[in-house]
Amino acid sequence: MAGIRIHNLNKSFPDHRGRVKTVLENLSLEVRDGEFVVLLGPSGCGKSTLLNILCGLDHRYSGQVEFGTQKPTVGYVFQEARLLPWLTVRQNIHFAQGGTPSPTTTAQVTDWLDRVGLGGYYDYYPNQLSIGMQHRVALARALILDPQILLLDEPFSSLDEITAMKMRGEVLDLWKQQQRTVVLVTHNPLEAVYLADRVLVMAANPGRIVAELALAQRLPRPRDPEDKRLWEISREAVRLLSPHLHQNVSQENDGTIRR
Amino acid sequence: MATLTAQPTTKPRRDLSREVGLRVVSVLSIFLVWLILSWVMGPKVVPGPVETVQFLAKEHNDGRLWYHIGMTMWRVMVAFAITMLLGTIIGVLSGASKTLDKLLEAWTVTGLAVPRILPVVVAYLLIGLNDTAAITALVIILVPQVVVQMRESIRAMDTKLLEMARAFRRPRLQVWRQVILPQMAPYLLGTARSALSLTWKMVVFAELLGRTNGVGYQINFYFQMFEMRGILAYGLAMTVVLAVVDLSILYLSERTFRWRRPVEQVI
Repeated sequence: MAGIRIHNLNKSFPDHRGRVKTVLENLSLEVRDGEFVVLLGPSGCGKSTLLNILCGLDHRYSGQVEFGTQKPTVGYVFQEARLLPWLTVRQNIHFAQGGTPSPTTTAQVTDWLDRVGLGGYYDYYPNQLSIGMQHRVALARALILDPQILLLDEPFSSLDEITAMKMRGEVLDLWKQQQRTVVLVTHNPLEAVYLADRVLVMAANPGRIVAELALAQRLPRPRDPEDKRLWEISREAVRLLSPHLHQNVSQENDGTIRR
Repeated sequence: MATLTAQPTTKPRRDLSREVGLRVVSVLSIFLVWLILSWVMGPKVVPGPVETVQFLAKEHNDGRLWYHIGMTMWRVMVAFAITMLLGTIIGVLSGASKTLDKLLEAWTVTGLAVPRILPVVVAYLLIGLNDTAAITALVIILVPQVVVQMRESIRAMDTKLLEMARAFRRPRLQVWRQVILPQMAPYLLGTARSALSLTWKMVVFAELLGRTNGVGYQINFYFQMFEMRGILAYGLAMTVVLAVVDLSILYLSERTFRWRRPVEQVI
């Protein structure tokens, strides 16, 4: 079991003027094992920071972060592809598996690259691929590990819409088959509502959860991207998000936080 | 209907022959300038390539050439190996630790600023006219340059890639092998090339000052004899040997970095 429980999480760091900036304040949330949770919020609300903490990349915080299992395996798809430019596409995925290919892992890599639409690009270097293709490699690199917890930081934002739809389908299929816990970060309300069991709306300065949309009952699966209810709920998410977007802009323009 | 098939790009044959052609022209231009210089100044003052190669053949037949080149190469390789090893270790550590970097700052700045002749003369005076003194002096001269380069290689490290490796819980050895070393490699090879070039120049200088064999000693000997052919012959021989070593590093570098996008595709 690999649920996540976060209680009173606080994270701050000094800004460029040496003042302490609070990124996350008293953030508490629970993600059930096998649940698909989407964090929806404006830039700078601490979504990626939260993922970094969950992944174990950032230990400088106060509060409690607990997992349902000891040392769960975590797959992380970053905002940027973060491929190693000196390794080929195939080698980049082998990197996550341990670096040394075996007939089994090679077959898995081939299978995953085919699934993300990169069949035939196995021996390409990242600089020979488009940004969208690089992101698909990054997605395959995280998914191939069959992680207990999958953390996705805006994984579809740099893909064209057709590829993004296909990839969303892949992630959903994987989640349905294996019921892994997924935490996905996005700016896109429609994407959030299409994918999530629960959408957590976040506000910035400091980063906190301001609203929650439980969708499991309201929008049964499988979901149709053209479903009117999906569009209505995404508009509801936008309405919940809007005041906080304005707050963020005000803060950036005059340097003061207005709530 | 036309079908597009994904194929990794390979270098066209025409590009390769053009590259070889340009390199041949580059080498020939050196000999051309030499010939013109010899013609203008006269062969007694500046012997041409033919006279120099004839003298080189005589030295070879007398058995002197390879003995002296061998001695110089031995000193170059020992000094180069110690320099690269020490410089890389100190550079990596000071790139990773601000405290160590600050502690070593005065040493590095002094090492870079001190006139290069000084360590050679001081080492000969303190240790004696022997190889230990020569190599010690060379290491003292060269290590600061390597330290600076390798420290920069650590500072320029893409931390996002290191973070990615941590996120995937990769073991330290794999991270060094597949993330850190490939990022250091361009600096390492670039530093190796410049350090090798500087080592050989300083070895010849050290031999000229206080050794009884080696290319530097022979150049000094023929200088005393006013024999310009001898000076040029040994200079040419050593340049050719070092050029072969340098080209090997360059070849290795091109093979290692074939993943890089050529700059001419971008600018």
